[in-house]
This record gives sequence, structure tokens and C-alpha cells, in this order.
Amino acid sequence: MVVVGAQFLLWAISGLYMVLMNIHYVHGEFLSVDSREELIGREVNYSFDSLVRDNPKAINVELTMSSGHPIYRFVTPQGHGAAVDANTGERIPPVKEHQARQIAKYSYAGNDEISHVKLISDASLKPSEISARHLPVWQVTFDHYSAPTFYVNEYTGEIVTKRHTPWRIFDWMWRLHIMDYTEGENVSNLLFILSATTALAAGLTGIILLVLRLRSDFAKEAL
Amino acid sequence: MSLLGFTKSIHKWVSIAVGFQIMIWIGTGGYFALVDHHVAGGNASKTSVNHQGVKTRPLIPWMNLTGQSAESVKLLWILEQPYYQVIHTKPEHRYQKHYVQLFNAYSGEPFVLTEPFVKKIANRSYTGTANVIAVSLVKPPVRELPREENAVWKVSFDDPSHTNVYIDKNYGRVISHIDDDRRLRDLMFRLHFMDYGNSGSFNHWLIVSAAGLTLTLSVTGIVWLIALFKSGLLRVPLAKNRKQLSVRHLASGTTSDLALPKADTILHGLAEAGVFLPSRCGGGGTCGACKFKSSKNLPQTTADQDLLSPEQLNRGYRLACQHFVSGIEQIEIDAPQEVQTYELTTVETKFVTPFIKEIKFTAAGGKRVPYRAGAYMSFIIPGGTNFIRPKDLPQHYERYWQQIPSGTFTHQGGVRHYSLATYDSLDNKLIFNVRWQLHESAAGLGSSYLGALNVGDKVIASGPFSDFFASENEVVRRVLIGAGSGLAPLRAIIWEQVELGSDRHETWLIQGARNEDELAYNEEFETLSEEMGNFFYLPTLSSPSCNWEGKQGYVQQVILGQIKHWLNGEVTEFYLCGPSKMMIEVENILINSGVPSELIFKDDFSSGR
Repeated sequence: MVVVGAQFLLWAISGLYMVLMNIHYVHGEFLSVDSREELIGREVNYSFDSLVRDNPKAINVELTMSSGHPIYRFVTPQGHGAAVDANTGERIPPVKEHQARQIAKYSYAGNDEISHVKLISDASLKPSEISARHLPVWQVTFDHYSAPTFYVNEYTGEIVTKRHTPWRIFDWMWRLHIMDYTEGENVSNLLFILSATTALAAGLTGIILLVLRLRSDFAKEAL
Repeated sequence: MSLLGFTKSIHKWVSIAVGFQIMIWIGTGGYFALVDHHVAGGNASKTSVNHQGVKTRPLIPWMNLTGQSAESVKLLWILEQPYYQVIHTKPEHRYQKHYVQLFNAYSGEPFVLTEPFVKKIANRSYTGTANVIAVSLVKPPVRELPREENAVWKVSFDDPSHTNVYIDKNYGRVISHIDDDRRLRDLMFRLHFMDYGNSGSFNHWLIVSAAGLTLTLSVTGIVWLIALFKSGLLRVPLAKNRKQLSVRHLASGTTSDLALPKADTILHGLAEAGVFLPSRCGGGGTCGACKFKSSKNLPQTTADQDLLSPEQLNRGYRLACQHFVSGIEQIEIDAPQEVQTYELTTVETKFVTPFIKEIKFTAAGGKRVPYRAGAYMSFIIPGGTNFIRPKDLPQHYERYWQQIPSGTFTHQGGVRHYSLATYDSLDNKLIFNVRWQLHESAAGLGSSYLGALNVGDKVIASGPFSDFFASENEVVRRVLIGAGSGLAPLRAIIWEQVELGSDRHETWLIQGARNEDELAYNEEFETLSEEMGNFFYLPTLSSPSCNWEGKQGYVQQVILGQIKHWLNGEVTEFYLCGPSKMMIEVENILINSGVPSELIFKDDFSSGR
């Protein structure tokens, strides 16, 4: 117990946090407004057929609304996102900082101001909370104690992911829970296996002690 | 109840509530740590399916489709054919309920995924060799996909791991392969998440309560651990250093010496030696059953205070799980005594006086017999016929035996007690002095039986027990008074004191005997007194030869002559062992001279010994 006692406490704390926090809240689903818009068909003068003709290798082609205008989004053979104006058929240039601010602000459910914006394009400099496949992205952080952050893809203007403090804590709790103090991905680490084995022994002996104690407690009462 | 007691009580009740779930958490956690996640995820026979095709005809504009109001439209390739996926509501997660329509992107006809398509997709995704045995559209709830809120296609394969391939009816994409490995993993998740209703979620009141209780259990456990650590009850024994603990059994009135590891608690140390104090909590300091009594004023731990009454504490009772062997020399316990019985092998016998035979034994198998100086053992004397006279009497003692008849006598057997003339760390042999007891036409049971042993003969004895031993008091001097075979325990104590060092207190031996021949170990003691400045040897003979230059008379006279010197302002302890008449008289002299009775220690071997 001396050996795994602290880890038991960490398991209990992190486990309690993870079950107590609703996963949809943790994922920050409430952070963005329901920005669903009907597609405005009359503004679509550039057809799917034309898009596939002009970009034969495009995958995941999707026609959707972006800030009130219909656009096509797709993934290029190079693996990054691209956006095309559905009215003109012109490639939409990479999102500038003011546009990223606009997109984030448009979608954000709160009233807070944006505290800072940063373009992240180098995978080696990305924060651990986002995946490399989302790059390049604008990191737009709002001025709120939970530091809500929207990540806006530079090529498509799409909000690819969101983060806020409860989610960041959740990630830390997960690491504490699986005892992976580096990347937070490896459940099968040696430390965890050793602790689990020791914990099993500690738990079993605990149960034995408990059974012994209860048996005698009842025996005592029966006297 | 103290705060710690309260903490322990909470710890107990909470552990009842969540103990088994914690075991499930640890067990399933261990599974997650050890399992191959690729296989456990059901991916053993899964490969990704590329649906992407090439446009062969113009695509119909999506505006021409019926029911075109949409949030977004995707160009979706299914088995190399293009389809428009019209999305009316797209939820955050794929498994949530979604409203989607498919249209053939060439013709604009509404399209529904049917069995042949689904079968084809499943076969492409499946790397095994087995065949499809069933295809069906399953409405939610889907047992094997608990979170799924949409209807899904299920394609079952005829393989040993019972693979089911699930395909999203709105996308034509493979959701999961569910095989036996995956089912096991899902079961583990359900157990880990306490998802006994199969909701696929871990945000429910049951697990929240269990987690809350577990946190309480951890916190109370850690508080308890810290308390144990502070009270010094938590240490790692590096070496099993042992020490002698004299344990007095209140039930039998006997005392045994046990060599217990210093770093153990008394409870565990005694258990290792085969003496089991009652304990219901196993040494946790919660049941209060493992009481012992010590004359020493031991510190009180919180468990002592919680579980013993103030009166018990004052009388010297403590809990054996709360105190270490290292700080204690002597305790009293009320537990049944586990008597050790040894088979002893005779290794040497010789007469040391005309009537005393020194017999040496070793325990069978070289077993170490722990005991301290002054201890005795009980010999089992089997019934039978014994010789009255010894057969190996040395020639020069023959004259003392002239009156003794030869022949045999028959007896029923019994138990006889003999003191050890040595102690365990001095000698690995067990040495006894057996004095021939002689009656009209018989000899003593013990002496005639043990005295007739030859080298190699085996006997059974139990013990060692000790009622008689040198105190650990810081005294100035110890006076040992003995006669006859009563010398045995005194000899052991003398050697023990000698081994403790010459710079310590004085040890005196007053040995009484009839004549020079009967003065057992005389030469040994003479040599010792010459070598050791703090050992004083005063043999006295009642009928010596004319060559005797030492004291003459009984030990009582020697004591009367010395008592003033011994009581001169210094603390002196007296140790008596010998014939009862001598012991009574000596005790009277000492008491009359003002020696407090607690400084007089007697080994009364005449009463049943």
C-alpha cells in the first residue's frame, strides 16, 4: 500500500473527475453556437461536376455554408484542406488573421473578446492538444478563465477543433489515470503494468482483511 | 473515538461499499495495460476500404434533386460510384442521430444501400477467408454498439471469432468489426465504466458515487498510512535481527523464551514463533484483540488509546500490533501456548560428580532451539524398566555407591524438568545436569532413564521454558547461590553475564556441596574467577577432606558472613537454585537482613521439577 498508495489516490481523483464531467461538456460542444445554415442554392453557380473536373483527385468534397456564403471544401491529394467559392469557382485564398478572428467570433457562443491569435503551421511547434492533420491552423483564444480556444484551418476556414480548460484538465487526468506522464497515449507502459499488479495484490489483501474484520465484527455482535 | 479512529471506521465501511468494484477496476485496468489494442479493437481482420472512383459521366447538379433543403451536401463515393449525400442535420458525433439522404449523382435517383452493396463492402473490409452467413439491418439500440442511435447494417462472418461487420447505412462506411476479442474488450469497458445498463457512457450516477467513495477510501487510507508512519509502525526491515523475548503465558503460568525479529511487531513476531494472539483485523490496529501486558511503561499509540480502557492502559496493557519487539524484553499474554517439542539426540554423557551426570544433546536435523540462560526443558520419560545403578559409573566414584543395590525397577513413565547448564548463543548443544535420585529400592524416573542414555539415543523434550533468568536491571551485583544440580541454570547465567563484559557489574557464585568430589564445575569456576575481575567464586563444603583450604560449612553461613558487604548501599540481586531446604533458609536470611523480596529470584526445582 505504501508503494501504490499515492497512485491509488491519483486514480481516484482522476477517475472521479472523468466520470463527473459530462463528456459533451468536456468536448466543449456548448462553446459554439448552432451555426447551421440552409444552403443557399441560388448562389451556387459552380457545380460539383465542374469541381471534380477541375480537381479530379479531390476527396471528401463537401458543399457547405461558410460565414453566410456557400463554398466547397475538399482534401487535396497532398492531404491538406482546400476551399473553393461555390459561386465563382475560384480557390479561396488562405485565411488571414482577421478572417480567422471573424470565423471564430461568428461561431463562439460567448461574448468574450479574443485575447490572442496565432498561426501554427509547423508540426514540431504545435501544442500537444491538436493533431498534426489539422495543420495549418489559426489558434484563436478567447479572454475567459477557461481559455476557450478555436482552431481554424488556414486553407478551409473550418473550425477543426476546440479546447477549453476542462478538456485540458481531462487530458491530464487521463494521463494520471493511465500513468503515462509523457504523451498520454500509451496505456501499456511498464509503470502502469507494475502498479496495476501491485494494486491488485494490495486490493486482494485489503479484501481479505475486510472479510476477516467483518466476520469477527459480526461474531462479536453475536456474542 | 479519535479522528484517526473515525478515519479507520470510514475506511472500513467505504471499502465494503466499493471494495469489489475497485477490484474490478484494477483487474480491467490490468487488462487494458496488457492487451494488444489493435486486436482488442476488433481490427485483427479489418482493413480500410477505398471507395474513391473516377467520374465517367457528368454529375447531375444537386439543385435538381428532390428535397434539396440541406445543411450541406457531400459527394460521397461508394464502391467507386458517386452519390450525393444530402445532410439535413449533422450532429457532433457520427453515432448520434442524423438525417441524411443519398442520391445517385449521375441520375439523381434516390439511393438506398441494399444487401448486395453492404455484403460487398463488408467483404472488402474483411481480410479473413470465411464467408458471410447473414446480413441484416439493425435498428437501435444495437447491442454490440451501445451508443449507436442510427440503424446499421450487420454482416456476420462464419469465422471462429464470430466477426460481425457493422456498416453505416447513410455513409456506406464500416463502423467496426466486432469479434470475440472486441467483445471481451467491450465487456471490460462496461465493467470498468460500471455500465451495467449498456449505455456506452461513463457519466452516470452509479460510477460517480463509486468514484466519490473511492476517493474517500484513498484519502482515509493515506491519512491512516501517514499516521502509521508517524507512529513508527511502518518500517522496512532490512535484516532479520532477532532478540530474546520472554513471554509469560498467563493461562499455564509458564514462561517461554522466543527469539523474535526485532523489526517485527510483537503480534507478527509471536505469530512467526507459533504463538497466535487473537486478532481479527490482522494487525491493523482496529479490532483491539491482540492485547499483551508489559511491566515496562510503553508509549501509547492512538490505536491503544482507542481500543483499550484507561484502566487497561494503566495496568500495562497494549496492543501487540502497535509495538515492536525491539523495545521490549518481557511480556505477559493470555494466548494458548504453542509448545515446541523436539527430538533430541544424545551426543555426550559423563559424570561430573558422584551423583550428577552431564548429558549433552542436539536437536534433530540440527534445528536451532532458542532459549535464554536459566531456561529448562520438560523430558518425556516413557514407562518401562530401568536400572537402579548406572552401568558406566567411573571407578573413582564407586565408593559413594556402595550402599546402593543393583537391579531394576519398573515404572509408568512421566514428565521431568531439567534446567539447561548453558544458553543458546554460547553452545549449540543442549547441556543438562541430571542428578541421581535414590530411594529404597528404586531410582528417580528421570535420572535412571536419562542417566542410562548412550550416545546416539533419542529422547523427546518440550520447551525450553524460562521462569528463572537474569534481570535486565542496572544493578551493581548479582549473587548466585546454589547447590547440587541446582548449579546448572546458575552456570548458564554466569556465562551469560561474563559474555556481557567484564566492565559491568559483579557476579558472585556461592556453591555448596558435601565434599570436593561433589563440587560440580569447580575447576571451570576457579579458572573463570582468576580471569574475570568481576566474578567472585565462593565454594563451601560441609564435610571436606583435610586438604580443603576453602570455606567450610553451609552456604547459609557464607551468606551471613558476606551480607553486610553486599547490602552496603548498593543494589544487589540474589538468584537461588538448589535443594528446597537450602533455598528456604537462604531466603529467610536475606529477608531478615533487609533484602526486598523483588530482588530475590528462585528456581524452585524441587517443586515438581
